[in-house]
Amino acid sequence: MALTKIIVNCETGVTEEVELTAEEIAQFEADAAQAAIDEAARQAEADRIEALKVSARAKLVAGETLTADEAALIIG
Amino acid sequence: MFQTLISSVTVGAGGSTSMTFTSIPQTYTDLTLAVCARSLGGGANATLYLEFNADVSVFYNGRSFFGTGASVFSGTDTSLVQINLGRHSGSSSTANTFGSTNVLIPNYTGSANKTMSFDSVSENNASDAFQWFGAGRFPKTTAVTSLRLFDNGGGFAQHSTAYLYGTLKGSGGATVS
Repeated sequence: MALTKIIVNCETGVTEEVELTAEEIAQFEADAAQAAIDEAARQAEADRIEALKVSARAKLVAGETLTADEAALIIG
Repeated sequence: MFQTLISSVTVGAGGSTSMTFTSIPQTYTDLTLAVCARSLGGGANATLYLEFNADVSVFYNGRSFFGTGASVFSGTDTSLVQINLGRHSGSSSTANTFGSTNVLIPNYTGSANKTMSFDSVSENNASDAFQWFGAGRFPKTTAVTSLRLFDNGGGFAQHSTAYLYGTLKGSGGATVS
């Protein structure tokens, strides 16, 4: 199926669905690839912070020393 | 506050990579975009972007805080050539769910840099759903004449919609000086 974009002209009210050019398709695919990388990085950071929270919580309850990262997470 | 619908668009069968409003009338004070969309991909959530005047020559500035369903975060965008509006529902979200996004663009015809505020939620009957709130700046002094919405999940699914409204300053839409 062809990739398309929708364009609405607010002045005329005309809506067009236009097929992407080869250049636009290349950009679209590059953006999607970069997005996958960005999302993986975001998820990794979210997982890291969640693990720090769990660890910090357990150490606080047990009266153990926090790491610098765990302390920073709590008090900023 | 009085809002007038300027234009709307609904994605048809097969989906579309973007929705663009062009030739936006310069007769209002502020613009409001209301988007109800689902991505063709993107996993549970896809990122929604907004581009002004087809201008990718500058870095837009964005500042957001958001919840993921598990944690809360804040973030700053300074190296994107569009504004990151948050997340909307992706292909693995609960079937037939759509994310909701609202964007306010005040003084869009003025000669100052263009600012905006936005909020969004993805919809997913699972813990992995985003709530997003932020503000941004398009660092150009030119009037806003076009707006392009797109996502990073492979485009908008059928039935995704976007509505563009104009707001006039003054009671009941009357123009005041």
